[in-house]
Amino acid sequence: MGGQDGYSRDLLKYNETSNSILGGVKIRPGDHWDLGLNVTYTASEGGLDPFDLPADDYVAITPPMSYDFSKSHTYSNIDVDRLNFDAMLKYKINEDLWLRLWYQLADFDDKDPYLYDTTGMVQWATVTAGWSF
Amino acid sequence: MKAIKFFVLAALLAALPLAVTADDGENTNETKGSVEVGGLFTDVKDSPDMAAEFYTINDGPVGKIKLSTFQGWGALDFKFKYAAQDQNSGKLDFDIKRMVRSHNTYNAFPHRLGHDPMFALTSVSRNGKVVRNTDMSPNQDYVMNYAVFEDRTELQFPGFRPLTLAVEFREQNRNGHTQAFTTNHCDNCHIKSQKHRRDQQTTDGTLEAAVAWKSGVVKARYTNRKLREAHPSVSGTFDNNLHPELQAPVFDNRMQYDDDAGVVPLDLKPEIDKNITRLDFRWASKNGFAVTANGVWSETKSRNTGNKADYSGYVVTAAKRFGNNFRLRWNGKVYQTETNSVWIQPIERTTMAGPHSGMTYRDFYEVGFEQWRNSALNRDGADSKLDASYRFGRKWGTLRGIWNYSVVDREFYEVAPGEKKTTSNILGVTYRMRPAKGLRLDAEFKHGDVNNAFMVIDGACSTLVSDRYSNPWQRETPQYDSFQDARIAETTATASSWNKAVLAVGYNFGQTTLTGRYVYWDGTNTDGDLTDWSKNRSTATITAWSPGGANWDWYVGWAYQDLSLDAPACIPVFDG
Repeated sequence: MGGQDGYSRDLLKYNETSNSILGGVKIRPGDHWDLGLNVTYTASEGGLDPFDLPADDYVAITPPMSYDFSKSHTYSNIDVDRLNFDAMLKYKINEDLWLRLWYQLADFDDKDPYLYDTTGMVQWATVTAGWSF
Repeated sequence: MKAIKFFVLAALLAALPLAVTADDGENTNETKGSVEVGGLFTDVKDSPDMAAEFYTINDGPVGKIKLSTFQGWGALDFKFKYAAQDQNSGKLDFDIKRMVRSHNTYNAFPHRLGHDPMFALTSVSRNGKVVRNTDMSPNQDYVMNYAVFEDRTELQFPGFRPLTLAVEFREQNRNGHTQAFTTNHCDNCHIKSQKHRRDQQTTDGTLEAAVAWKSGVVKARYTNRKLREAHPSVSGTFDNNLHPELQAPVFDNRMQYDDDAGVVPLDLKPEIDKNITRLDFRWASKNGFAVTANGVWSETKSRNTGNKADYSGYVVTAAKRFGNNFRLRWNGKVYQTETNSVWIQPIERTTMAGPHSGMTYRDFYEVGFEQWRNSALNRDGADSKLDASYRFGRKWGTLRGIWNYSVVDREFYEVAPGEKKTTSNILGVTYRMRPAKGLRLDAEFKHGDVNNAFMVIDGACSTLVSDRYSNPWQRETPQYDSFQDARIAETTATASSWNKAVLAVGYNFGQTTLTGRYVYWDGTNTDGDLTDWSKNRSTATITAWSPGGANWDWYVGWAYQDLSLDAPACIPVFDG
């Protein structure tokens, strides 16, 4: 029994990769219509390689060790996908009046939760009428 | 909400000239605007914390108003967009006969902070004795609503145009709840969490005066900032300190707090006052020589403790053209930060039972510790940035050489054994050319060297291993400071040597613009004992954009990042 019963040291190797693709288009098919579409998709992965923190000194004198480091390298894993999409449709009734529909989507997929599962999807739809003067 | 009132007040002030104009019967040159109203409908599946981290998830009415007018008295431009109570923004610009110019913005949105269930704390514990946790607000959503109003209004008098006076006002409010954590020992490590209602306000007021003449300007400004917390703390009690096996109060003299302290304030947030004075000077000659200089003096004071941090810094930039092709530029900065030292008075408790009964930690082990805490921020610093460029011509572009040097000399904090100084040198070269019509190439290479790029000297990997003792109260048992003194590893998260390369290309063909950029960064630090730190990062982006035709345009893009980081971990294994 005492204070420090040992220490462990190892080199940790962390790797992270992220890819994003995005695109958008604005179309004005006629005097009365405006259409806009935007999409972004991101996939990110990150994590530590397995490492060894054996605490030999401690284990030698305290076989029923209180700690289990065997899964520690997985705790900081990141594996997420994110999709953002929005579409806007505007119809001009005349020079001064218009109707607009705007739709947005954000879809986040947390494939390897750490503190808690942050997977979620939110959709927003806005319907408006406008008048310019 | 208070910021919205300021915004409305500013809008009303701006509207006054309209009324004056109506009375004067002046002709309106142009007024236009728009109003848009409707509804917002939202749908949330599972957690919104990442999907809508900075966006509202509330249903309700929405509205947008735009108004701009240009008249004999001046101009006004007003926009306000209401998406939800927690998400809205506005802008108001006006000028009156160019004598009064005002720019005002308002922005409000939520920030979802997430709720840590604290399960991760017990992830490496096998027997449940090492750490446990209690969430006292398990159903609380941790969201902070952010709102900021910013105003800058300039006055310039017809009789004396060189003088410009300006008033700035900024108010930032952050309201909501954050998760407050407290750590209890030593029955076992017990982490408690509870909601902390926050109502934080940061207010800045600035006065500025500038005098300009044909070749230069001199400007002085003073800013007063106040950070206030309406609910600076939460209340709680600490656990009874018990031996984990014996469940007896035999460790009390190792802890500052126990349940006998009763209800105490926790998660205390500081309130701060800050004053900043700044002087700027800019001058350019006709022969291509230009110089700018500024000085900044600030004092930051904690209202809770009275502790102060002072900063003073001076910057000079000089640039000179030699002929049509050669240009030399130098930027120099010296600065100093100073924070008062603090005496920490520990609560020295006596143990109620066991071998240390009736004794404090100091009584039993006959040790005393240095209780003065000196600031690691106390330092004198200097930066020098020199670059020289030569332009070969439009086609063969410009070659530029860079040498950046900086030194930080600390008063107390060691960054190598007996050494408090860090120096860094960065050498670089960039080249920009347009070898063909529509084609642009950029290349950059930089190399950096840093002396003493460490965070903590002897900061990890204690080599002291305990002998076996019949109980932890024996005087011979190594104590915390013994293990601290036996650490041998230098810790760092900074490279002592690094290289960076950038290659960028832009190409226009037809109506389409194609751009690509690749950045490579590689750094290492093996200078210290057991340091072994390295990082490598590659990023690439490609974008294409085209106006398409009269009725459409499009864009596509791709971004890539790859990062690898190697760093040593040293885990001390303690019993108790």
